[in-house]
Amino acid sequence: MKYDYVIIGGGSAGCVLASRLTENPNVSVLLIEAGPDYSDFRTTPNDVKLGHNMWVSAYGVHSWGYPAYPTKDRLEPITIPRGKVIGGSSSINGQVICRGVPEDYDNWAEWGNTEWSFSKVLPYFIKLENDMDFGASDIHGGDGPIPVRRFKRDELLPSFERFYQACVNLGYPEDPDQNSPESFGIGMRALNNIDGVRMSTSFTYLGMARHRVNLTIKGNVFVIRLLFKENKAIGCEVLSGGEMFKIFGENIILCGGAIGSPQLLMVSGIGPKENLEQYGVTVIHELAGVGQNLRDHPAAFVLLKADSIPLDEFAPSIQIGLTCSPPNSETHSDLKICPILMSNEHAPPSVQIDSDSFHFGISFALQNAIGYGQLSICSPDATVHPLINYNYLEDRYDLDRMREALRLVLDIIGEEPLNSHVIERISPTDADLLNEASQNAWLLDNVYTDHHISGTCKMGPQDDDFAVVDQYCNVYGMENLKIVDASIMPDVVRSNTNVTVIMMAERVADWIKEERKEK
Amino acid sequence: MEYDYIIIGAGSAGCVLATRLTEDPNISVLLLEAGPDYPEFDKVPDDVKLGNNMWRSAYGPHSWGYRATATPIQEEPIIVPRGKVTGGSSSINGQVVFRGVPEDYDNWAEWGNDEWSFDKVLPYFRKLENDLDFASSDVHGNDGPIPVRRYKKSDLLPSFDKFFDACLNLGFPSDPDQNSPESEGIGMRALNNIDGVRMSTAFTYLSLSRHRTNLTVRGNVLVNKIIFEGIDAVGVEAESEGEVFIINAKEIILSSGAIASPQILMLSGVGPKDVLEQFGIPVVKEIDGVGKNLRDHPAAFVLLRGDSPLLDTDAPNIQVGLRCSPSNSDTRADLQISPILMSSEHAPSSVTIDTDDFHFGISFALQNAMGYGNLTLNDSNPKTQPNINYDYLNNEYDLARMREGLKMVLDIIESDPLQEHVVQVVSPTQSDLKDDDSQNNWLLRNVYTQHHSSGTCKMGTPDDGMAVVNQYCEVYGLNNLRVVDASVMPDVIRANTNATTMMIAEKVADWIKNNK
Repeated sequence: MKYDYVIIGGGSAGCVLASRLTENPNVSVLLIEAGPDYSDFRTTPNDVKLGHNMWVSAYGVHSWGYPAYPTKDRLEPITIPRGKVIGGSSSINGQVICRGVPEDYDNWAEWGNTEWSFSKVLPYFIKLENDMDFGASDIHGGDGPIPVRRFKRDELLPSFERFYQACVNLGYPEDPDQNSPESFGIGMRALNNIDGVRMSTSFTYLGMARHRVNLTIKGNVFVIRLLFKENKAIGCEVLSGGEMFKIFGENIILCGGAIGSPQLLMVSGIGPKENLEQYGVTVIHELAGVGQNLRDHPAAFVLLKADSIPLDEFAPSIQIGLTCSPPNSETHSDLKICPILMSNEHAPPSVQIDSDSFHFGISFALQNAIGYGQLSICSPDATVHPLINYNYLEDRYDLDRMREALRLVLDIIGEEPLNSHVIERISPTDADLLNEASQNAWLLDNVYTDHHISGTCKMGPQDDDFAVVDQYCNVYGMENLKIVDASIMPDVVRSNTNVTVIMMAERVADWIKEERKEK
Repeated sequence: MEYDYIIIGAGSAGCVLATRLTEDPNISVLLLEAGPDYPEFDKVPDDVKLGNNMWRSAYGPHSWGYRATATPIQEEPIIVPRGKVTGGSSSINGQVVFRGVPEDYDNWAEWGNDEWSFDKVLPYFRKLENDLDFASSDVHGNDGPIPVRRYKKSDLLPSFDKFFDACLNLGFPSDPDQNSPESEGIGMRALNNIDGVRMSTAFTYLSLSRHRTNLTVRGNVLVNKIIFEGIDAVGVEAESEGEVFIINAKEIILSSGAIASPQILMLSGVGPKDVLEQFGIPVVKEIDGVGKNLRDHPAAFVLLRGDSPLLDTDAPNIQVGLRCSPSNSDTRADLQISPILMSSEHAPSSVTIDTDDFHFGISFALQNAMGYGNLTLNDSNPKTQPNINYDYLNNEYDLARMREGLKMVLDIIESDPLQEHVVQVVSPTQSDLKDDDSQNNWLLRNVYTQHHSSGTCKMGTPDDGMAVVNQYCEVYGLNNLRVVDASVMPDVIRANTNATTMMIAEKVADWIKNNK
């Protein structure tokens, strides 16, 4: 039996595609997810269902927990959360629905991907959302599957309220709509969290499609490799319940994410020749760009002890964010500063909190990093994690701006009403802050992922040697094989990546539907 | 896209077929179930998971709850439980794994279905079970998906133990293995219940195959009809959350049970011409036998108040059973007598218990009833229940044996040690028992289903005007369409039907795999 489309990865892109493509009852889709599928909302585990405490989710049982090296000098890997569950990372993330700035998409277009200019992607940002605060408009949608809302000012936790006011006192403008093309300053985060529930692509997009008999969803199925007939993708080989199966489709759509997608391509024989041959993978098609161009937002935390009683485990860890740029940056919106709740029990693994008293972190993350990393396989076996090197802050320009960003964070902490709320700055210490060299050392020791890995199968024109897919997401040199996920971004956008991934899947779904009409 | 097989109904037969057919990874199967599918054991509702209280399950939220006419003089319809959930009726039943007597299957063979003789079906009874009490032998299997066990005498509830001893005192033989070909007398029920869990075909067979990517299981999908091109079955029209879908397959296997299978056939244009025309359904193939030959075991309860404190809701309803025959019967094993717990809260719909005192019933059910009923449509809407008429005890022979059955039950009640345990015979009353007429009247007013509907798409030879399928379960006159469930039984067997339904599915699965 042959499905019309086999979608590999039931994540932020895969669920969107599965839902949109099966709107036509004559189109059959198989959606494969390596993690479990939870078809019943009521019995979905809390770490997936409840979104306020993102640490519980992102570093919990439904993450791949990939090990990765943040810098060349750090020998201990950091842990990269990626969702291993239906909904993918949209099921374990922080639920920030933040679009890139228009220039991000216009850059993609300028680099040869003309279909991805801001004016061409905006309709899909509108289509995917139901903005409950702004309603339908030129820039917002009122009837998309993803509900979006923001906390009201009077709902802010004291630490976040004081952060907000400190930013205002420092002269940052108030930013009422962070998804406006002109967004800048301090504002409420747009969140796809409703009454504490993380409205993942599984609960939203897939929720609309699960009943369709032309859609088959298979959880706990691990794709071992893609199957080809010459240069045509015809299916995949999978591991399920300890047994191997072959699955066939007219079209294969790879939605494994910025780590899973390049890895699966490489173990299947598509990628840089040396890396494949090193592990005895037969080269089907050489594509030098696979796994290269690994983008992210280098991030660090200033960790604070503050004057508050410890909060409930499910208090919202994210409410507000500041969009700005370090003075030494050449681009706007180059920096996001965001206060985030943490506790000794719930924190990213890079942060150690050794008392029960109230803590929070101020995250600052570079949005336009010059540096990039690389992903390669270290086994022909798809179940062996790939080698991931982020190479954060290797570039001097990136390091200089992060130092400047750290200064901006310290300025906010020094400003009232936040200053009187902070009891102690745990990290960095005064010694860490002594001079440029000590600040650089602290940054390099503490830089970690803002969870926005992307770019590892970048789209680009034919003459871009590192392009893996064309702008319609077709893998170069192959037939019937598309990639749709964060891996195809030519560069990471200046924002959280989730909503851009959902937008891309919406856009490609429309193309695929058009393709079928033409046939 | 085209599946190799679409199986309509994930019940006692459908789950077996789905699992066996997908053992070949190149075979794709879509298993459709009108009720919910519970893929995770931990999240299965108690009425499905827990089996000791069969009333809670059979008359609970996972039953179709068909309404049927039992006899012309019963004014209220009886409720017929059939499972509407993955596992089908094996998910809401009493879990008695009980084979018919060898003569039952040999009769099928004699009627022209020579592949169904006892010798030929026995290997499949062995294949389906893992008998935890009897080692692998000519009779029993030890590595099948369905675990089977029996209570020990020392595990019996007092009422059941006293019933058991009363039977012995009356001279009934002890029956250590009710699945032995020679089974007769009083013995422990063989049960597919392990530590209180009902080991349905969903928990057993389907658990072996759920991971297979060539198997797709879909719950909450109601099949409206089978789609034909000429005389070829090519797919099904199904409704899922209010939307209608067409799904194609090379072969359609109808395993919806003895009530829904003939209903779906008729809705699809396969059945008696007068019924199809009455409801404006275009005739695809006229087959007179669809819905006819509705077989069951007519059953009644003697309801007793017993000398015992109230038992826990999850105390085992069924532990022992007596296989015997009324003296006026021409055949052996013509009667099952079985004591069953009941309470004001948990009882069959025909029994009303209005106090909280401890009650139990003694069920007696005719195994070889001559009479049969029929099933037709009420309208052409797939969501409307079919018109079911059992017409129990419509002949003097059946009625006379049930009267005799009643007398045997009363004899047991009056024997020690059961007699001293019985505080009151609630029903029938002394006046019900006065004479043959009053007994007939009580029987006709109280007879109801032993939950063994079957025969409504009977298998038989081409010259049998009432046969719907041939002995390979292929529907006569149509291509790519089989019926595999209790409806194909030519007659109900002298036992609970679940094990035989699984056997049928195992046997047909082998044929399909071997291209018969």
